[in-house]
Amino acid sequence: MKKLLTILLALALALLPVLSVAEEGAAAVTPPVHRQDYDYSGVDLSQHYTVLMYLVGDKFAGTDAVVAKMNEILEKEYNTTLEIEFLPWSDYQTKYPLILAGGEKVDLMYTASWCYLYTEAAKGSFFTLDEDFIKTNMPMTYANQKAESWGQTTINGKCVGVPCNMMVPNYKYVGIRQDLADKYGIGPLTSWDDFMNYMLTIAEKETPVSGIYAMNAASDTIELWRTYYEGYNAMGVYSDDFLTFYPEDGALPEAESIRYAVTTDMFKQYAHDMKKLADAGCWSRSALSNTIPNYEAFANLTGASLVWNGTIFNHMHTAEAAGAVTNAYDLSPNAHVFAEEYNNSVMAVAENSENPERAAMVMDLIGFDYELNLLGNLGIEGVNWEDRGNGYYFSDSTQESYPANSNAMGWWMKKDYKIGVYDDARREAFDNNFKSRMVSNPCTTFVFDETPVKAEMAAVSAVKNEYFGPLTLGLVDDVDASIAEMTGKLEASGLQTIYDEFYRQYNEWKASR
Amino acid sequence: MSKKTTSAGIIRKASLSHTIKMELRNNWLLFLMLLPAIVYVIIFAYWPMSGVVLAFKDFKTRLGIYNSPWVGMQNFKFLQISGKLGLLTRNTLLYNLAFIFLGVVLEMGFAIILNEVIGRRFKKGLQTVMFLPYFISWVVVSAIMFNMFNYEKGTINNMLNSLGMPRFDLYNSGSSWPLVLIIVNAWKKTGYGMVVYLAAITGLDQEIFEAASIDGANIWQKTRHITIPSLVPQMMILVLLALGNVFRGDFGMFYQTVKDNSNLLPYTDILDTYVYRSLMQTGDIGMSAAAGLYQSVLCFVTICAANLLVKKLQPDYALF
Repeated sequence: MKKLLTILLALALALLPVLSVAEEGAAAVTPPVHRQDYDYSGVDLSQHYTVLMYLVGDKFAGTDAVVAKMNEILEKEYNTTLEIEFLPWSDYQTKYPLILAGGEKVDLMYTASWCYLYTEAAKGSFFTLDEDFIKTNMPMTYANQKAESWGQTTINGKCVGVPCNMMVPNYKYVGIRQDLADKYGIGPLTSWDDFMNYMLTIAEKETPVSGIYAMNAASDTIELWRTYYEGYNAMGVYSDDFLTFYPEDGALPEAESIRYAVTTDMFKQYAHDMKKLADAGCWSRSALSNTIPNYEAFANLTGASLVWNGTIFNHMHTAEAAGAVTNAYDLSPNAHVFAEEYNNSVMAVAENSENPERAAMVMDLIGFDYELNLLGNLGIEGVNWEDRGNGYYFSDSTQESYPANSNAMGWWMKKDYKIGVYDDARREAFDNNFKSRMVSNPCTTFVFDETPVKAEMAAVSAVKNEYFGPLTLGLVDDVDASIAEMTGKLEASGLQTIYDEFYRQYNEWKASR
Repeated sequence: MSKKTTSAGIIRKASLSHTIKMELRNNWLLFLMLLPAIVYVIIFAYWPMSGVVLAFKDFKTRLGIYNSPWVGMQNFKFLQISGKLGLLTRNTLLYNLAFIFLGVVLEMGFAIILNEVIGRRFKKGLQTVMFLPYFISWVVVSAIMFNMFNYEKGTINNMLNSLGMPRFDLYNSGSSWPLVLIIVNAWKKTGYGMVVYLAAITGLDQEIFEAASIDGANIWQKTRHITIPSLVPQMMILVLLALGNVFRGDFGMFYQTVKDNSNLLPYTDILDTYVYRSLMQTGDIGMSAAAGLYQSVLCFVTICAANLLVKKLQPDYALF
């Protein structure tokens, strides 16, 4: 019976891509925006100018060819060239603030709530985009950017960047070794308890035999922690460090309900569960010093689980190519799925830009113009993606040349001018499900100005970072004692001062809604 | 009286100016050779010093270093409320003192031993083997250590396990790290530091050793009464220079070997790594500059105190 079910499931999964293509006529795409319909006469194009854009992340092999294609248009029609520099993942944290502070040439800078948006804005590193400036130099953005998105890049009344303009689910998938689950008779994982059972079973039965860890963890388990609290419908306010619960009644949460994440009871429960997993040998006792990322370990078959965003499917494909059978699960099928914040990807004009008008114009063109946007987002048609007609396109996510939506520019500029046809039916099923459960974080436009408490924020964050790794990897002798010690240090470092300022600003923002 | 003083002053000035001119004329080639070093020091040591003002400023990209607003001592508040200043200063100081004094003993000791080795090829081979670790980056050293001491799969732990002994949980045993770091530091740097002493020994007058041999001195006696005293000036200079950085840790070593392993931090966290970890996310230049200034002031005080002490005990060995 079980075998029959497996075959039926496999058939259903195999048919899904076909079904998605068969439904092509029903694609709900955003109407294309064309540069020819907008007026750029307010921008001085008399001199040639090269706009230098900095992106975080590694460069794809096909990037130069894509940028060359974009420049064919920009050069011919706007006397402008786009040049892109990449700040590799390995050292972007070191280089990013220096690029802006060091007086180097930079016109456009990728930023995000997780990538120095607020700290650099506080230093005045980003050019202020006022309404007149946007109207003149960024007419497509002025007309088409979602009104509610601007609030996420407006700090102290000043808009410092253009946020992403598309709402997508931001949820974590849990990838596991399905072959191992089947081997030990573990059914589908549909809850946290199922996940715990899978981990403990692998640690008990598989690790001693093959050396495969239930999770080959490194440094901490932050992605699993996010999965855990999202299961309780908890959401971040301003950042993941400040949590509250999604208000089912639609009202904005009370300020006092927002707590520093690691001081919540939820975190304590999570830390206890992690201790249980660590004591059972679900990961190495040296995990705090391990530098091999969890996803690499899963892909090279030394780890049996992986928690992350949609990119886990790429690693699942690698693991499958090496002979494993993998699958992905949602541990909280009844929880809300929060939409990705607009400020999860932002493009800003650098304050040091020698030509902010031209930089803004290029941002406008690549962000919205149908032709340029498809180029930057998907790459070159026929090389990196193919048109499937009726608003659908296909891009092989494993291609190394220029995978769709895969560099920082793509994350920021993504638009559903065309609907992607999935190359993994499992992911498509997940995403459709996530979209049906997607809600927007009602506090999404609240931005905390850290300036008045920046010393306390740095000190509190240092304490949190000191304890977060050992607690989320269960590598402490006594969870309760460690949390009590951490809480004491957080308070000594000024947590209450932060709360006072946070609540004051939050209440002001709430009153203005 | 005042006229006399003024005239004497003019005469002194004129004579000084004349002396400088004479010096420049007579030794122009030597001064020319010195010029690149002077330019280097001005550009890379004195000019950047003005950046110290950042410690008292709220740095704004648009306004730059000198035009950003002054904030008094606000940037030091982070260090003060972190509650870690004492621990970090203690760790940084003790590690460096251990590195300096153990370094002197090992470097001088190995230089003397190597000097006594007779076989030339063996001597060169030994020196090369000792020198090699210096060229291995801390990233690689860290990877080697992890592969040796990983709790479940490390080479050493597998050996211990196969011998029926309990595994050693190095990455959760903070108290073992001072010893580990001192050993690793000595392994990596002794070969390099030894070269200065070896060069000094080679330059010693061999006739003194021959005379001592004729008088019946053995190797130990020659070492104790001739070699070591002859090396004291070099040792003093090196120690004093090292003391100048006693509040600055070797960031590469501490950061790469320990990484962000919080369980080890009470024993391994130094000022440099703490500031790096804490301010990496905020990228706050003012607070980083404040921490740097704190280290510099401590280093300055230490080197002045040490130099004063040396000046009192052995004026010839003082740096200034």
